[in-house]
Amino acid sequence: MLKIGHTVKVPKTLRGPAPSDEEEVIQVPEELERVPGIPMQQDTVTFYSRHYPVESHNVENFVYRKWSRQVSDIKETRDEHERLNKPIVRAAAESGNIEPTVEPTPGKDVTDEIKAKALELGFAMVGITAYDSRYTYKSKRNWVKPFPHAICLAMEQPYEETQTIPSEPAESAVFATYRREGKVGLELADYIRSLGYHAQVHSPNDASSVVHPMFVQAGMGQMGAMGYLLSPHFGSRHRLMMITTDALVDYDEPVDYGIHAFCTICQVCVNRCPGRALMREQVWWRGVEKFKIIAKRCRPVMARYAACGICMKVCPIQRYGLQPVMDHYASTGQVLGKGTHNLEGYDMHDIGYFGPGELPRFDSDFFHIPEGYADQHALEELKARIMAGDVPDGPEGDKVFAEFRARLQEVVKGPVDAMQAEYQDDQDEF
Amino acid sequence: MPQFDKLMIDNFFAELRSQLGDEDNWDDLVKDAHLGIARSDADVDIGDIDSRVAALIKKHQGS
Repeated sequence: MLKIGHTVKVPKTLRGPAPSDEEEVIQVPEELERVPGIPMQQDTVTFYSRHYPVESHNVENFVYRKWSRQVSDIKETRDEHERLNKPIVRAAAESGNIEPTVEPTPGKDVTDEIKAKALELGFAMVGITAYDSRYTYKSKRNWVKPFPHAICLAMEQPYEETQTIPSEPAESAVFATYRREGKVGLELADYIRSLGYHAQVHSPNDASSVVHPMFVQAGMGQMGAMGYLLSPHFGSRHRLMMITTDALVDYDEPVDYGIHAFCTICQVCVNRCPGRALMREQVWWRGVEKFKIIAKRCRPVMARYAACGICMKVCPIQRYGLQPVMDHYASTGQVLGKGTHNLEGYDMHDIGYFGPGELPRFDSDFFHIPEGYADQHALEELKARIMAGDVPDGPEGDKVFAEFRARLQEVVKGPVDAMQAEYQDDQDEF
Repeated sequence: MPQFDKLMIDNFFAELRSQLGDEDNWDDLVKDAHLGIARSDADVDIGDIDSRVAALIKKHQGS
């Protein structure tokens, strides 16, 4: 039995909309103790946010999003989700402009009321911390209202479907979870306004910021080796969203659940990633110590295999919960489920089943996919055609340059954000 | 005892669904099943899970 360093009592606000009265206590072995939250160098985070600000995937990888919609093996499901989700995303985009409906009660702290309402509406987790504008996407800086507090919210996605990843039923469940949390997020914002305060809904599907650091700061989990937030009760099986507000609230504190160190030992997701996109070692990245995924090896698989998510499926904390995983590790020194078909096996629709120690093989062309800003991509394609001798002098070459000019004009005049570009058409401005 | 391989897992969950698929707490039973199989594979005590699920795990583990 390993020596226990400290214990963490998981609050009811992190255990689902209807948590049992039974206590959930995590025993963190001494050898897994690090720091509450995540190791961080504040000055470095600030430096990067000023000089190399983060940007939305929908902007800096505009062409990937468009391409992935076309090659998706679940295109119809995804298109239907986008159709149903569009009004929810649009409502969130306007939510910061709505005024409160009453005057607030002076001096009354509304933390408990907001948390209780969030759980009543079906959120699985709720925590509150300061909104950290260092993580605001460059293209969203003018959209984000100056409300100082971040209400961090998570909706559980269905358990059984998640264990079938990668599959259409699993991704359908993800889409349904996003729509459900988008809707009730708008309801929670209405409730906050009924208390006399402003509330801006940051849609999980049109993200304004990197939200994970705020969830960690609010004590809702720690970062896993696959780049997800791992929470004690759900692991990575939840979808995150945020509401910022000027309501009078108290902050939660970061917690050391032992996850930061546990992931360096477990490594199941690293071993099982079909794209070999996950790293064994943590690195310092923009001021935090974390596992940095190699997106260029992840996205080609995501696009073609129902948004993948194998790293979510094979995570023992997702599958079993942190309490039994930590108890097993403390008593045996082993990772529960590691090396077993039940945890590590997965099916990929056109290439079969892969058990422990087995991975699919993809040729190098599989990983060559469209990426980058829309204007950059247009230029890269032109350069490739020139290199290939496809742009001769004379009328044929002039035609290629005319096509390039027309395409660049279309890009420059259109939205820089791929999602907004999708949502925009002549009759229906985003 | 052998670990659960893919065929055993598929057969186990098929029987679990046929026996208990209509239960109101089906989702909890599926969670118990995954936890029980993991502990069974690790050759440790199966712990505090639904007794019907535990019995089915033992049956399939011995098959």
